[in-house]
Amino acid sequence: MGYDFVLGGESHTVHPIHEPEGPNLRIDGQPLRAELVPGLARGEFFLEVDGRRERLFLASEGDVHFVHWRGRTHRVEAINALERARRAASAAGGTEVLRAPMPGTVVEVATRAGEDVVAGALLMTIESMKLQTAITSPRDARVAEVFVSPGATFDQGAELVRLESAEDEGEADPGDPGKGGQPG
Amino acid sequence: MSQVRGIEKVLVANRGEIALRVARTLRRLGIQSAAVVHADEAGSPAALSVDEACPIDGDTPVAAHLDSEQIIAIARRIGADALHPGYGFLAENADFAEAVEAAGIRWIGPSPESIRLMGDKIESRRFVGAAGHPLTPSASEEDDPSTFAERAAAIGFPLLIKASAGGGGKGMQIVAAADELARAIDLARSEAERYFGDGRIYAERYVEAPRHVEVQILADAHGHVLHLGERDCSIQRRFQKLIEETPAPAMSDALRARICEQAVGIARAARYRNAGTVEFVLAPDGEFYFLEMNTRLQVEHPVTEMVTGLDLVEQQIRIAAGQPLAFAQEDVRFEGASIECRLCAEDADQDFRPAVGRLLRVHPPEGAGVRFDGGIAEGGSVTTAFDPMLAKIIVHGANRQEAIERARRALSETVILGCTTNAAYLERILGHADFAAGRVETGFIPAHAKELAAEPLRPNERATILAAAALANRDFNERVEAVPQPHASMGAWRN
Amino acid sequence: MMRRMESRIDPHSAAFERFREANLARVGEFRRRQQEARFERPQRDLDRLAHHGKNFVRDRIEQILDPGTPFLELSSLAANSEYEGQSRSASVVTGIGIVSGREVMIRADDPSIKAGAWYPLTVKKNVRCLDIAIENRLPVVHMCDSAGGFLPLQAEMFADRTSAGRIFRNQSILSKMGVPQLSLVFGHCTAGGAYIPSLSDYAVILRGNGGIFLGGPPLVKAATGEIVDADTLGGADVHTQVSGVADYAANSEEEAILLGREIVAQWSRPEKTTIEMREPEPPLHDPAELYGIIPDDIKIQFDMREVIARIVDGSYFHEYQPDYGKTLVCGYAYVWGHKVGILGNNGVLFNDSSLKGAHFIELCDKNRTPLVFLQNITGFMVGREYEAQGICKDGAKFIMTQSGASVPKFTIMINGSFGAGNYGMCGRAYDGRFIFSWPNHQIGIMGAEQAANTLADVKIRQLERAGQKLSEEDVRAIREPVIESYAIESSAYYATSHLWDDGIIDPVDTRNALGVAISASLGAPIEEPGYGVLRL
Repeated sequence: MGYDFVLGGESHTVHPIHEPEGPNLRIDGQPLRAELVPGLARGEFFLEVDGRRERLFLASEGDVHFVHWRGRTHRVEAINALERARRAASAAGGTEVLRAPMPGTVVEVATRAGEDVVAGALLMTIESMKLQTAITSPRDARVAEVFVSPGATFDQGAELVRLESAEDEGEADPGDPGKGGQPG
Repeated sequence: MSQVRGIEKVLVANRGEIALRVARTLRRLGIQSAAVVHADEAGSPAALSVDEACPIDGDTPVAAHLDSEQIIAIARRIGADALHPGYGFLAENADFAEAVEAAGIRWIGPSPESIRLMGDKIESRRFVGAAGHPLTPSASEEDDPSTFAERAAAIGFPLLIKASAGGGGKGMQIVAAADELARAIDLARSEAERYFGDGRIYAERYVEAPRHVEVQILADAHGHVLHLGERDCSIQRRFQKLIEETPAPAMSDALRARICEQAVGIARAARYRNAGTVEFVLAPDGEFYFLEMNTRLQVEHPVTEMVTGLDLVEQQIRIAAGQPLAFAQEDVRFEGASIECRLCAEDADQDFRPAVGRLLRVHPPEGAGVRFDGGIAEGGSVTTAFDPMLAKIIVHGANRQEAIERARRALSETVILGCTTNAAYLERILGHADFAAGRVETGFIPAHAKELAAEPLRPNERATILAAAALANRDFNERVEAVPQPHASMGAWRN
Repeated sequence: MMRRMESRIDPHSAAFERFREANLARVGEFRRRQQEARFERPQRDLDRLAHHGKNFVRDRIEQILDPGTPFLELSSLAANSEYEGQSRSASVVTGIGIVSGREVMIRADDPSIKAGAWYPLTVKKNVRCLDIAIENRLPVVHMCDSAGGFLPLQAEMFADRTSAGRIFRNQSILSKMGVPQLSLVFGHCTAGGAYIPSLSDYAVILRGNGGIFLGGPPLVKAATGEIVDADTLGGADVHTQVSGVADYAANSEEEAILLGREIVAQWSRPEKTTIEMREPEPPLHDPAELYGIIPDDIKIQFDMREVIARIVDGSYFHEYQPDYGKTLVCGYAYVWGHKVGILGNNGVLFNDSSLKGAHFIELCDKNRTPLVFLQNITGFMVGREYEAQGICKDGAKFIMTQSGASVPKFTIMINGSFGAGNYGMCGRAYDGRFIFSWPNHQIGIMGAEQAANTLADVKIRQLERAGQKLSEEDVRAIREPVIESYAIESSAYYATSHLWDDGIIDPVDTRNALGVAISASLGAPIEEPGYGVLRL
């Protein structure tokens, strides 16, 4: 299992090779040897790769790296494989039953069967021992069934909501390309 | 000590690149400078470049910059002699210009009447036509709403439906054939209402493969009007200018002279004062028609400065101070060629989607004939709060070819990390054979869309970039270093 | 600072060529059997895996290991001679690998064999795996996916001291020692198996396939009449939301493994025991020449030094007492950078070689130098002269010091391992951290020939006393069955099947196996040196 990086919308795998000589990276299956050496100017680096010396500029913010090389700037994002697997798995979904963490009563129900909810969305509020607890969705999903209604009492472990996988999730809007102050 | 008598302190009612550029001239002229600054931009280069940064606020940063009362109150409070509106925001707002002058502050720009006249697309066309200058065949709805569609159709297809109060490509509909006309009219009208608060529309002939040619005008309060040459701004995407140059390529000197002469005539007829730009549509057959007049300094004014050696902001200030122009038309010299590229925060590889991010590295281009007008600095954030133009890269060369080479090199050497820009895309335009040959027209970009698309990376190029990123990635390095010895040296051995 | 060993073998000699062919054939056979045990499964079982959306056990292991790192698999041919060969690798894969930069022991059920059911040798392999974890303080990653005990053979794996209960006892002791364990529940953990995640510090359970229950649905129905499906009884939601038996729920095997890696990354890395170290260096002499050095006949002698020269770093060796006790080679060397003391047989053990061995072990123990035993021993010298010289007490001293040595001990069964020689040279009973054997290895109380002769001899004398004589055919009738059964029961395959060692390895893999093993052993502290009373 290697480490994944996204470049130009495509995912690529980088494996470290630990041998002391020869290639130290395997990128999409191809071995190569590369060392990153800082240059003098701020953000300037030299990548010594397979005998060549490539001058580039590099800046990083968290797991996003910007590389300026041969007149073009590229954005590379390191993917946390676990996060990606969680998102893929939760999108593919499957059924999940949320159960009561303690005995109590239902204060209000904030959803209904058929509704698509996002991770963290409030599904219902329950009360127990004078304390109100929010039951939220653990992932993006569709509410398949709500088993209780306001005022109902339940035991610990009782089924409260059943979730199933939501259908395709929409892309966020890129935003209006024109904003105020636009020069002519 | 101000070099311009009567103007000791100027408030710049703008932000970003233009505020920085105006402040530069103010400093050179020994004039005290102030600028309105929204809290989000407190540390910006523009805010830091002026003597006095005056906070403004509003529901949004844009709203703050459109709040005339607040701005005038600030100008009064700080004792500004004059106000420079830059471009965009309130620069072409006649009411604002009036209010500024009413407050006893000089408006660095034309008179409110000129702004009002030229700001109204229908009125301005009527005026220019009446003054005997060439106009695109057109029809205004206002004249007789019931016959508008007919009169529009009479112009011939294809035609354009435009908003009278509009600009920047908004409220514009291209109509290819008669059956599209009604719907286009409705759409244009509702967009005009929505964006400009003014639903008046007009129709005009749509020139195919037109060039956008404009003339820089300078006029003083003593009746002197002259031109500083033309600019070709045909390279546009969705009506937004991307690359501007002077002199206009592939143009006879005779045509050049005629266009500039017409521009001066229009400005004179309008009794124009200060800097302004007359825009024309140039048809392939050599006919040109008045499009509109911009009653302010334009984004692309630096190319004119590069070939004439003049500082247009300085000229604006002197004119506002009442000084006569210090030179006549025959004194104006034009040397070499200049090209400007608008560097924008957008992803040309992803359908020009707006880009945002924190600017981690900014290395502007340098070298002979290279000028970088940018309001950005390392550490600043690019958001969708303001327009996506980050900076202008302007080059000068002895001739157009040299200018193109310098511009291409400057774009390649410009390093902006943290926010995607269109730098590589601009470089590809400049490198296109048709551009080099001067075969420019406003449809250049859609016509060459395929050739201008970025070449996909080759696998070994991808590997280089990925290697650099992986080796810079902290997590990757930690995991690599975490592997103990002798296991690391043993590699992926299995028994 | 040492001298490099010189090699005196002739790689072009006829003998070398003959041995090489024979050993290549042996290794070929070993590799073939290993391939079969590792990968060949009845299509029906593979279909069942696919039907449940389960990945093959070895794929699960490859996914959890750090890329570009070694994996030392133990006992890959366990149970090969039992159960008609049905329990491949004893239905469980164990081995030492690197996960998130940490050395861990991996124990993974193989659900492609009878749904992962445990056979008696599965239990033995599991217990051994956890014994290794305890002795070396290795954290453990369990990949649980088993239908439970193979009931027809329950008597062999339930009640005894080292039967199934020992697995859970070992887990508890590991935990007491502060060594973390992670369970990834990919399938069922039924009955005793449910204790594996319950006794682990961290448990991840797969939604859908994963289930943990002391009694599975059939048992519950039989016991109380209650009808309940596996998921409701002990699935992910019950255990991560209600009961607390598991800590994390994962929606896919990939997510479970990645989560497992993230969990292991939270474990602190305690300081390891330090011993003398040096930059590693491959042997100067080609390890592939080992194939031409080991004879094709167990009676033929070879110089153990030639073997040492092809296992140790740079072929460097500092020989101890080179002119005394020549049937035992002793000396210091480095393996993957670790300084070790090597004892290798070069013939039968005499008084002097026994004393030399005992003395060298004392030196290593005091010096905190791990010991590596290279076995090729037919036994101690017998005969009146040697008994009179006290071969018994000299052998005893050897056993006494070796048993008492506190430094980690490693044994490679290079060739034969017969009789008491096995004992002194740290056979299985002597708590070496790891034992590996070569495919040509043979082990027994004595050699087949010797046993056949002894038994025939006994019979001959018996009949002589009764005044009878044995015909040649009768002699053969006595000898041949003995030789045949010894051939089977002395082979490396039989030994490894019963877990008398921790796996057969290709001779050229010896240095790497030792490298991983020694590194793992340094996870535990080395006790103070000491041993019992030496009969001097």
